[in-house]
Amino acid sequence: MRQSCLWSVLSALMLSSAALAQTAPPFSLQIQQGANRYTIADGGTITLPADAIGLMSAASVTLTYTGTAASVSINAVEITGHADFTTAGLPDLPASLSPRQSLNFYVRYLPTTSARVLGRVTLNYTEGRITSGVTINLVGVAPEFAFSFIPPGGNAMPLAPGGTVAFPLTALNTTATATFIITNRGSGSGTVNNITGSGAPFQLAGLPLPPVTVEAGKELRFSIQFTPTQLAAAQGVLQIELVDRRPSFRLEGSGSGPVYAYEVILPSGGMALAPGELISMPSAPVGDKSSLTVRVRNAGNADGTISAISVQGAGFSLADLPFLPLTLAPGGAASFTLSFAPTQPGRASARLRIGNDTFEVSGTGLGATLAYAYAIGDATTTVQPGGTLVFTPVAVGRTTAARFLISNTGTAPAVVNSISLGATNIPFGLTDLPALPVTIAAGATVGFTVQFAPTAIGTSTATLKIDTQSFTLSGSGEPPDPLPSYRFIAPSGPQQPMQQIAVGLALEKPYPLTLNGTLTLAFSSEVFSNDPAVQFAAGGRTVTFTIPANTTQAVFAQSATEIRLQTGTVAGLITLTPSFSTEGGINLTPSNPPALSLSVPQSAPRLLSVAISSKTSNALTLLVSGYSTSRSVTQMDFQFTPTTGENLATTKLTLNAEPSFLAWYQSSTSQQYGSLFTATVTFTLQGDVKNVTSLSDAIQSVSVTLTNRLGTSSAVAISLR
Amino acid sequence: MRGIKILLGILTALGLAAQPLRLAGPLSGFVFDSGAAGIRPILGLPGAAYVGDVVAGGLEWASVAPGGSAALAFREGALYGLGGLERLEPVWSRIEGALGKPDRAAWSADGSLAVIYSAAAGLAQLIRNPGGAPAAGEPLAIGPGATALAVDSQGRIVAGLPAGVYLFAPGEPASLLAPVEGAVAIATAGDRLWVAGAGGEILEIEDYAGRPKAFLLASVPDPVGLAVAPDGKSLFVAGRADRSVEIYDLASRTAAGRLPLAVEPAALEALSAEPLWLVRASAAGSDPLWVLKAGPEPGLWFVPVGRGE
Repeated sequence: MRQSCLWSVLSALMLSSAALAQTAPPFSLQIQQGANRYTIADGGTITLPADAIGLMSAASVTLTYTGTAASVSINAVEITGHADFTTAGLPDLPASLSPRQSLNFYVRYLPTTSARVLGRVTLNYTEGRITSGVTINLVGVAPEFAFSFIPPGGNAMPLAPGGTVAFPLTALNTTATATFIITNRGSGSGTVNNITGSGAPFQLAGLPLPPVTVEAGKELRFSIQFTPTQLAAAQGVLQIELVDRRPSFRLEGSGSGPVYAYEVILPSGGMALAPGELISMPSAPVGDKSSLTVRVRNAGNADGTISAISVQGAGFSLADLPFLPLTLAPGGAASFTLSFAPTQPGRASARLRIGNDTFEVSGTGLGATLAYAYAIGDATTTVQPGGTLVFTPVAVGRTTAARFLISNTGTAPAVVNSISLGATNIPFGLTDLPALPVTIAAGATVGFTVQFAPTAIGTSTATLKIDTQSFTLSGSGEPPDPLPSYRFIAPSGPQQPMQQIAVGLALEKPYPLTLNGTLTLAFSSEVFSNDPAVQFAAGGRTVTFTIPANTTQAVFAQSATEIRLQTGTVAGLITLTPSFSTEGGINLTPSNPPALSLSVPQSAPRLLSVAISSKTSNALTLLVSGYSTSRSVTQMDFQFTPTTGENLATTKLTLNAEPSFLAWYQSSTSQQYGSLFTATVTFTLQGDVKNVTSLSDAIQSVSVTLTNRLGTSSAVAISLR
Repeated sequence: MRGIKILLGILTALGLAAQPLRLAGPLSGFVFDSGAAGIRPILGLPGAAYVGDVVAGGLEWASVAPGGSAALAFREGALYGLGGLERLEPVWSRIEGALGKPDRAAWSADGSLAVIYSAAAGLAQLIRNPGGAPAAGEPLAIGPGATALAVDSQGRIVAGLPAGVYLFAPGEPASLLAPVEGAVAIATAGDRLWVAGAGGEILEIEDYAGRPKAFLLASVPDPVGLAVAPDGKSLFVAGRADRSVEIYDLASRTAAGRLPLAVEPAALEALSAEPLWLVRASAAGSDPLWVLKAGPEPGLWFVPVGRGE
């Protein structure tokens, strides 16, 4: 374009110079090309650029008479030069033009070649007497595109529309680049409206934004990239959209490289395998092994190198591997062994890698797998070996339970030989145990009950053992129910001395726990002296008892339901107070436990026996035994009855015994006997007898009474003969 | 203690005067407590009695005379005679020439004589005056397997042997009194003797030291002990099977009564001069003794082995 314009300018300058030498024609020339309007002088040039060979380019010419004559006659219009120029729209000639009157016509250029062509339009006129001419020079230009490409590593090659851009063999997944060239070998600029390509492995690169104007003699380059992903020949189309046509070109290329084909070989036969697919190993019992052969073959058109073969996954292994890196020529093959040795039942998976290809691998271990859970109410909780079964807190004396479940989630039957607790005398127990050993089929569940009956407040733990697996049992004991009221089964109130009475103890209603208790005897003397005889039959002043769970009766030693005690011989108050606790040591004794009170009142002395200790002719010794709960005796009275025929001067003898008894009861020795005593009284005899030979034989019997300030005892007599 | 002396009589009539009054604590007897390895007194009287502390300890074996007037004790390889128990202050006298540790002993009614028996040697030996100046007699070969033993105040030994009940009188050959096998208990009173056989037969043998004459007095299932009342009028037989003590009137040789027992009797050993017998010894620390008291108000009483506070 720039060249054409320059040429037009030069032509105009030349014509202007000639006109200066002559008289300028009385005309003005208005030219319009598309939206472009301009004026040229006589001899000026109109450049007609065609978009393509065969496409017309035209310009409108308006000739206006600028002279002063009445009229001017346009006689003829001649066009000379290249035949691709023509005129059109001329009026019939000759034609007369008045001043300022115009004449229009067209100049057209229909190129048949892309070369620059010249032409001339001459208008002959007569003005007055002068006949002359107006000349317009014509220049025609047109583009013409040619195509070529430069293959990778090659030289440029011309290419006709419909031709083929052929790529050499290209390694798979690599890119080969060819350069495509559009050359404007015409005389005018041309336009490329669009360039498109198709075919997956082909990509266009370096394209300018369309439309693109290519000046005459210039070229447009862009790249065609070929990236094969497979060995098969690839095809595509490159299409270039010009103004007048749409030339297209075939794109062709082929990939090269190794292609690995995989195959799993089992005794039952082979099976093709694509990368990423799953290899299913034959199932194997836990502790055993299954194997298969994996075969890899180079089905490609180039050598292939496998640098690594590996498998990742517990229980999976490789054997018989070829030396690595392994080069496989086209058609070559290698194989190795893939093994599965499960260590636990169930499905196992792995990844097998062969070069850059990976495969999923899976296998099933055949065997039993036990899963454990426990259910409390509607809630079921899984528990792992070593885990803890946590019971709902429950009051001491009550029982809660959990259902323990053993499920075989494996693929083979399981046998449970032993279910036990790790210790005895614990607040946990097992019930509903299956008959052992028990076989649990695959998918089956067996259960048993674990009970928790706390005996103490706080957390208790124990170990549940199922064969070699251990579980911790944990339960929390809450405070037990309060103790029911209780009563003594015994007399109460005033009691006789020297009694051995039985005492029982019973709850008003059964208690759910076994209770341990102690019955404590306290003696409060009214006379400032203890009585060691006041004690239980079992000895001492405390006895233990139990009240078995869900019963009411206290049970003492030797399964007795009552315990005996002695009331002794000293006046005072005997109090029996129980205490209660659970077997776990929880004290259930009320803050003010009701007690049993027995009283031994102060009373007159009592005689227990009178015996003869010795008897001689003139002496008599009596042993008088008795007690006085007030620990006082003031007087002893002896009533003697003479033998028949004999005479006693005095038959009654009163002894002031108070000083002796006072001394006795104040002695520490007497403390061992309560108020019991044995008094030894010796009588000497004097006088005469009538019918007997010895003085002592004159006494038939003697009767004894004891007195203190509360009264006199009954008399006890003894015969002396 | 202030002495009291009152002249009661006049010149033509009998007069009495009381000597000073002496007071003491009553004892119901003594028992050998093998667990405590000693002799312990029964302080007090039945109904208000308990077993007191050991008064003679460190013993491997002991036997106490009825009433506690004397005891035999084996300690550190020697046999001792003990007196003074009634004062709770025993006096020890080593008995020279005595057999080794006895297996069994029997006492005369007055406690003045005892016989000890060694089962292994089949020997019996009289111990005279064990509570005073004890003296051991010559060992007497009565044979092994004696199951019951008795001695009277004359030193005559009656032994229940496998072949029967034999009398061993000083200076005389042994004589068979009754062919009772497995005699359980033997009791003597005067010239009469009673034997309880393992089969339940109760025999009375009159004039056992002269012309013995035996006859069946009664039959008591599983007898475990025999005792003659201090007055010699009644015989008491303890039967384990019936948990009772059968009482026989010896004058009429008829049953005179029956005392049911709350516990199973194991013996009938005289504890004192009173009609008081040990029916069952303590089997454990908290197990009381059980004593039977005869008389107008007979009864079974426990005696705590422990002690009140």
